[in-house]
Amino acid sequence: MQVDIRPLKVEPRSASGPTELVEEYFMDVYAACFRILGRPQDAEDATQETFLALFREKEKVAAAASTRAWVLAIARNTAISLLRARRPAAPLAEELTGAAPIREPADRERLHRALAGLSEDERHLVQMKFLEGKSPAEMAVASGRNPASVAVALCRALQRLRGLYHGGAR
Amino acid sequence: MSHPDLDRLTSWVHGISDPDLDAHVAGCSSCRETADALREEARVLTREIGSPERLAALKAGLLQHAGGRRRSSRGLLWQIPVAAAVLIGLVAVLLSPGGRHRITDGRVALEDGRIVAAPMELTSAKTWQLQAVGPARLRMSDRSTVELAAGSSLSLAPGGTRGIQASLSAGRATFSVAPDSRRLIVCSPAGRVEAADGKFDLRIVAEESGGTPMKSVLAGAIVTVFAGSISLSNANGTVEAQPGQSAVLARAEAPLLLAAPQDKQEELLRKLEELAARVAKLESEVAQLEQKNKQLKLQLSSNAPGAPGGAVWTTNPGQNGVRVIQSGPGGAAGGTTVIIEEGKGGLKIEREEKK
Repeated sequence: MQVDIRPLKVEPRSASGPTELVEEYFMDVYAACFRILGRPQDAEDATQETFLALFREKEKVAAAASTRAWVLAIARNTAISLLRARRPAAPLAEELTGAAPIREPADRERLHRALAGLSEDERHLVQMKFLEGKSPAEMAVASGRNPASVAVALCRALQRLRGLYHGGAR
Repeated sequence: MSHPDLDRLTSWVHGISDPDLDAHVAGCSSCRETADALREEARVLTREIGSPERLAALKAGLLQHAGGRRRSSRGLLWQIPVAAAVLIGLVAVLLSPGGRHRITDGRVALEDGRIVAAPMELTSAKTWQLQAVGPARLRMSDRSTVELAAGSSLSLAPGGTRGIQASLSAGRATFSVAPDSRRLIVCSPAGRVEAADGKFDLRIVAEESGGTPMKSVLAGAIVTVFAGSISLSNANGTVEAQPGQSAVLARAEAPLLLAAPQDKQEELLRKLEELAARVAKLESEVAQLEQKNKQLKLQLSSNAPGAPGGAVWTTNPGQNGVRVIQSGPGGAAGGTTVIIEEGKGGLKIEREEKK
């Protein structure tokens, strides 16, 4: 028996109607935006802008050879534009020693800033684990590594996240 | 083994198999606490990165926009209140049979022997046979939650009025049923439990060879209701259990309510204590009376009738309620006279010695 993990695999097909686009690619677009931006609210804004752009250019979307590739390209461009336009926040101080796991955050903004302080690769791992619910084996397949190295990389990413979060408290 | 470092424990919590750690964490409270903290961290990150409420609201707003109902250049987030109605529909979809179950805490073993850790989602379109490795918590596709004790076996299959057919075959589980007009059905080997809302505990009791007769009677399942009205049924009958009540589901018997509500139980106990005190007092009085009676018999037998100088038993029927027993020669010659007088306050006994 296989574990069915969110999000369901979407087979590429020509979903070009606005409603179909949202239904099929919403989580993919959000994940792509989060990976670039790091802050959940910014990723939500970029997701919204992405779909508004797709609705405006529905003819181009319909004509695209791969709808999915087109949608994700728009999402990436939108997120990068937003990242450039965003006023950079002061970087958080980082604890260098092993920090404790993050508990229920009293300051969610600090957690979001800590997420934004990760590298894109680190965020990709965090996103696969906590947004998409992938197992280490599935993360390994998606990132072209072996499960052990993916697990080590995830631990390092979480260690940095904790360091940024707890360091930012000072 | 020595305590694992945080990275190794993190990998283990997130699904990297490590049999040494399985054994170590089971016996090490410090590592268990750290593992719990890591699971809590996973929950926080899952919620913060992909807040289901915010994402559902955003998606609902986009779908509304895609449907061409309203267009605005100011963005869509301000439409969230408007999208609430759409969200209700979305929630209804989530509650439909096409939803997902979610392991929110702990670790469970799947049918093929793999162990998966929370957070993990399982489609409700399939049948799952789950065994809790330790205490585990699960949110079913209808948003009802199940807390499984270690070793409990729960099966989730599509079906029933809510799209879920839950079966507990071993162990113990506490169900918190999400309110709905449709009833959630939970099966056990000895019958089934149905609830539209509320909370109940279901414990499977196995019949053990050589067990006591009581154990044999209870073999099946014990249901304790904490909230809501719960219906228990099997082939032999149906009962409704209220909060505070427990019931036994046994294969060969109709469901049997075990306990009255808590307040009635307390009242019964109080009455039993009062009765016990009264019985003790009566027993004490009876013992005193028996003692007096014994003493009296001893005194009378010391001057038995017929013996030299023995008693002459006479009565005085002329005086109503007064009897006189005389021993010895009687009259002015001496002896013992006992006067027993019957009155409203009981028997009055007087003894007179004459020499």
